[in-house]
Amino acid sequence: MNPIKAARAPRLPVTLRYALHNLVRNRRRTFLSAAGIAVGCAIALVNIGMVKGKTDMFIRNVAEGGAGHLKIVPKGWLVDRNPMLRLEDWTEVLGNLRGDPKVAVATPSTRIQAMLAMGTRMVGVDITGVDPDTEPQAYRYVRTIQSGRYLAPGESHAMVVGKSVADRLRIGVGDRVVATVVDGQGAMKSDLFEVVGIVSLGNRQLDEQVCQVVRADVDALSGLAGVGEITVLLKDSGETDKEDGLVRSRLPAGDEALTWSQISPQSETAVRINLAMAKFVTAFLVFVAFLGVVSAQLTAVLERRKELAVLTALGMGRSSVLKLVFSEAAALGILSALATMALGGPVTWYLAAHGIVVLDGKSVSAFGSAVDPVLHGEFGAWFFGYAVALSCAATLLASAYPAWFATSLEPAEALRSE
Amino acid sequence: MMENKILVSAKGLGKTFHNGRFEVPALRGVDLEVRQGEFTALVGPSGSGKSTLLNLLGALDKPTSGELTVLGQPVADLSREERAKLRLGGLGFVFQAYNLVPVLTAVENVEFVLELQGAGEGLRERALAVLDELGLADLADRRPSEMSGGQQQRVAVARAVVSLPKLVLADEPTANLDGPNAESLVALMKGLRDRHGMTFLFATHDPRVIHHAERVVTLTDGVISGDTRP
Repeated sequence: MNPIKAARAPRLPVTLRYALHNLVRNRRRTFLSAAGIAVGCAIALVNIGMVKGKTDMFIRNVAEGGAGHLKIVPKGWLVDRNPMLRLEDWTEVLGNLRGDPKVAVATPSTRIQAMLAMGTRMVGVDITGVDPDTEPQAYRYVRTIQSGRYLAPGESHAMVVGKSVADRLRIGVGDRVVATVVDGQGAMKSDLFEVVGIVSLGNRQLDEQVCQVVRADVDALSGLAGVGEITVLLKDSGETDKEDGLVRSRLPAGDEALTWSQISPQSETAVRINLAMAKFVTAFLVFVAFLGVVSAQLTAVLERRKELAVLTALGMGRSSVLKLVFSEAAALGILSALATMALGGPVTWYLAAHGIVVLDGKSVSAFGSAVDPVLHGEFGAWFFGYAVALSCAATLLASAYPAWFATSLEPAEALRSE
Repeated sequence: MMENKILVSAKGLGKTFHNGRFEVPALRGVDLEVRQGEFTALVGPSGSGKSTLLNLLGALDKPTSGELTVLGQPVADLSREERAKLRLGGLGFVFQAYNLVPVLTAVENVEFVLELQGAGEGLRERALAVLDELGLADLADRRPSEMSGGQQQRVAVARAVVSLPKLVLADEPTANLDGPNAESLVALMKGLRDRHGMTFLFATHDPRVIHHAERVVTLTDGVISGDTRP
């Protein structure tokens, strides 16, 4: 190549070339530094993925456990959850919700407190009147029928109960039970229902919550028309607060929208604790890796003490020294980010795709909701963004002290000490 | 006359180091003027204060007492950053142990100084031109480990002079070189002085170098004991 052309060929600045050469000059240290950051960040990201998945699962279980992401209720409902309260204009509200592209499902329901009796045995329950078409999409507890079937649209005097209710009444599918209620006018009223399905959630407390009939039957028992609540599940739970505002703005004056966290504040507390712990664990892991890189980078600076002193003697100013050390850190950060992706990516993906089996085929309750037997993590574009941000931030921060140390070198002293 | 311009002026210059509870005076009242174009040897036995004086004249260190002006700037009043700018803009250094950056090639070592100066376009061409002037064009892409001691020291000189500094300070530049290489290096520096009007001040106790000097300043126990122009 023509030497003049070679001289004019585009090149990286010498400072940057020097920084890159420095990473190669002690490959073992560079490898160990990158590996230290990568292992710390990869574990942190796997943890973040699992916590994200756990949080999503928790919110999903709370939402699909009856709270919904949003619930439209009459104003004042939250105070005592009076089942006799009715929405102002439920048909229009329901129509609007079902026309909203962000809504996955909106299902109306009505409740009434009742005493179920079979022979001499009695159990107190909340009977929920539902739309059989949409209820199973919103209420996960009725998706798994242990025996019998779920309610059919339009049928009357049919009932689905939880296993613990069935056990206490000693009833099975095909048996008939008497439901006794106090209606909206204060009169006692009874009716006969045939048990068509029994739900088993593997948890007594959750089973006791299940006692469903079609909505028209509750209307007949209560003597009140209308709907007591509309449960809304969104396609993206992250949109809850935004959608909450939109829904509120379209509600009649007598109705209100409640988020899952307002209905179940203890669940929100659990989510917050979960996230706080995840942040702490992430910070701790990154900090441990950070200390390793501080040590390695400081050693790298100390080993080049004389070299840096010579460059300072030649006129290398503070900003150039910082540029040099941080260029090395940035390159090390990019290497670490790639290693973080290589180490943490497959694990995070696997845990998102296959999950961890926490219970063999059963569900248990936590904070009043069912939890999935398989805990899935989360994996997505966020992983790559976090890998770059965490690795580079840890490496650059870890280089701050060695950089300061390098700029503090007195050239005469450093040259004299050699 | 350009030759008479004073580049360095030291009056009563003192430098004391602290070693624990003890004070060790390295320089005790040095008076010295260095004028543009001079080719001066600073001689004296080991421990006489030659390197300390060079460090002060090169604005690498601050004096403990006395007045020191380098290229018109009072060194004692300058901050670290201002002293770095003074060195970058007007001073060149050659060290006894060459001290090239080992991971950079010869031309990159030279180019680095220009980049630090923010010299803009054509850094590589300028660095190659200086190497060519010093007969090092063939070594441009070699790293220090691939060069002999004499070659490394010539690259170090190229690095020191590439930005055409007014004053080049050299601390025992021939200490690690054999006879022919030492002679060659001194001739090289003298040639640069003649062609570019640079001023050279070098600490040495090498008689092969001293006899090339046009001025010999002798330092003994931290004071100037002789200043001759052979």
